[in-house]
Amino acid sequence: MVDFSQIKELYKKSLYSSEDKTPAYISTVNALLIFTCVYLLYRTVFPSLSTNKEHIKAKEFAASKAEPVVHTVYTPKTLAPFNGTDHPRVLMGVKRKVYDVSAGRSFYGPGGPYSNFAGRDASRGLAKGSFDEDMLTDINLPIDTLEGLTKEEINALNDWESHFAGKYLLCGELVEND
Amino acid sequence: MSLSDLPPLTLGLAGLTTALIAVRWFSHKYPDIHPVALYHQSSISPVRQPDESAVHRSVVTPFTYPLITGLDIRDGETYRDGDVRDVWTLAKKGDVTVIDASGKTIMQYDELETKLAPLAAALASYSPQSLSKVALYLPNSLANFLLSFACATYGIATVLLPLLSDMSDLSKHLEATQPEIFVYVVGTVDFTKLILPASVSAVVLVPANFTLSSTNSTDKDVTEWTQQLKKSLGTVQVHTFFEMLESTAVPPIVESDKLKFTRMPVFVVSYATSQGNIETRSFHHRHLVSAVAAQMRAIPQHEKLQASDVVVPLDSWHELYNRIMLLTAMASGSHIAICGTSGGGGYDLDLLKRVDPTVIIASVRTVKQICELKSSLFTSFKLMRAYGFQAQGNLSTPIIKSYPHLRIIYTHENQPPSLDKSAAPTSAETSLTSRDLIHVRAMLGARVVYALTHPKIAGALCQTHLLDYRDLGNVRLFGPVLPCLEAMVRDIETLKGGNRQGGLFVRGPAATGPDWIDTGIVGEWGEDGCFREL
Repeated sequence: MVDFSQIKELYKKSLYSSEDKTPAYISTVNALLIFTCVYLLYRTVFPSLSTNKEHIKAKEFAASKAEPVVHTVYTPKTLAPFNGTDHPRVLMGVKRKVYDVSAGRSFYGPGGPYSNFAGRDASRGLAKGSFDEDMLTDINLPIDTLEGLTKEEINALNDWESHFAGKYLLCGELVEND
Repeated sequence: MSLSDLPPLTLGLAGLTTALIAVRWFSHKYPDIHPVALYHQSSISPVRQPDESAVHRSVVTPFTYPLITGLDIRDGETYRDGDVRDVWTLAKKGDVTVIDASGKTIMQYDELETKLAPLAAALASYSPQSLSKVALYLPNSLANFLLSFACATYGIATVLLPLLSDMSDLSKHLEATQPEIFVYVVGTVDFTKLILPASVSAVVLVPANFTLSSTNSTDKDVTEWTQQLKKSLGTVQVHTFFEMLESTAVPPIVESDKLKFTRMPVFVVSYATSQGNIETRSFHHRHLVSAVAAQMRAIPQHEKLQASDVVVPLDSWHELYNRIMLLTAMASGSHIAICGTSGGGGYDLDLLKRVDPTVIIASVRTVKQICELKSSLFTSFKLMRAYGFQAQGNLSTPIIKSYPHLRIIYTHENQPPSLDKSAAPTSAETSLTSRDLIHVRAMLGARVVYALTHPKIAGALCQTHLLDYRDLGNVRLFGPVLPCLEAMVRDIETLKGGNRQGGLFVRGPAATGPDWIDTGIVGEWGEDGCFREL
């Protein structure tokens, strides 16, 4: 029968001293401690040259930042897919300028109260304060020239334009189809 | 087994390990700046044009904020941008010291101010028509200091001539700038080789070691040269600096409208283009104060220049960047110590050690000279240690102990003004890579601000963050754009703005032009918002 307590005693003794012919101060623990001391002393005198974890994390965070949006010239046809359904981005045209309203997806995106305007020229609808389909111009037709708007409606449209300019990203302009 | 059962050696080693861990724990220093800030050094526009990168701005002036236009000088109930005269007023908290081999002379701004009116009056009286430009061919000196401020105060433009030894080059710069008065140090110009343009109506001689106590009667060189030149220069008047200081003429009338005054030219800079022509650029008060204010805002609040700083401008004042940094030091109320000019014919480092500067403004070549030290094994160990400290975000004690209080070095990448390209120093002599900056910090124990400059921009275009000690290899890293400017890169050849690479374009209050200025510098924006020259 193997006596585990004796093996344990022998093992402990070997860690702290040697019963061999080698000097008593050579032991596993001493070797580990000497190595640790030398390493700590070296690192205290010569700090590490390698980039620390904080820098690596910061660098990765910087690399993950979203790329800037490219200012693009849209036509009614090329703007139409950006309705939050066909394309994840939600864009809207106001006075021949295109705004990225993806941040207001709950309003302008699919299922939102103003989702009709997504991917379309919303100028007339904003001027008249109406979100009906008949405010929108067919994408195959020329862009709405906003004829027939009253002075109050034009002012309302300008206010809306200021609102969009202050809140959303101007990411393009709207021009006629080819 | 208890502690007392352990062999003494093991116990001792365990104690030493614990002590070392404790030392490292208690001596641990946080980095001088959080790494996240180093990787977010620019404010970047969310939209870009197809052939351009996004527009980059300083984080101090993000988009929707106005770019820095001036010093915000309180004027009753309002604030105004200010002009160079306001810089002089702000400077009165400090003083000016002139140091040379014979000793040190400290002067207060109130005393120096009494010299400005006579100087301007004398200059105006030397020009038959209304005076517009005075060309200075002077090293950094009290005379240079007084003349440039006299001109700035009284609405006269100063032409900053480069200190060229080739008289034919100098003639070309004079021809391009067309000054009415030419000021130089006795014995530094060979008039048999220099061709003065027809616009020059007067020449002014300045003694080599002018101080406020110098007089005409004690300077034999000036007297002899004056007599010789009067014979050889024909109709061109010859005057001495002493005569100007004693002038009783009426100074020119200064524009009373402060806004109009800011649009008056202060400095005219001439530079050689890559095609070999000389072009000139005029900088107004508004460009200068914008650049000065941007410099004051660009460095962290706890490191900004203060009244206790001793600023030594080593590099020649003919370069606009050095002038802007001088103005910045003055606007901060720091003490200015003039101890000669580096570059060209060498420099007296012993004089610099006597000054004990806290801030120096120097060219790359001068910085490298100051950092020279005999290599040895011990120096190599010290360098390795210093590099390690910087990798952890801290500065170590300097290896060169000659400048114990030095804390900031301002330096910039520049091109020499000589038209002789064969004489131009190589890029390695005039530029510093990221690795070189680490070496400079290690040797001098000071933070380095390395700027990218351009002849059409007042001051720096981009500059490294004061606390950015990163090792990015052999890359010329210039940091983010200054708060008085915004910049982007545009497609050039195979480099695409969409990839943040291309030719650098800049605009802003410190730029001499309303639209984007093509700097001709090719580089890229890093993900950290810093500009790297390719």
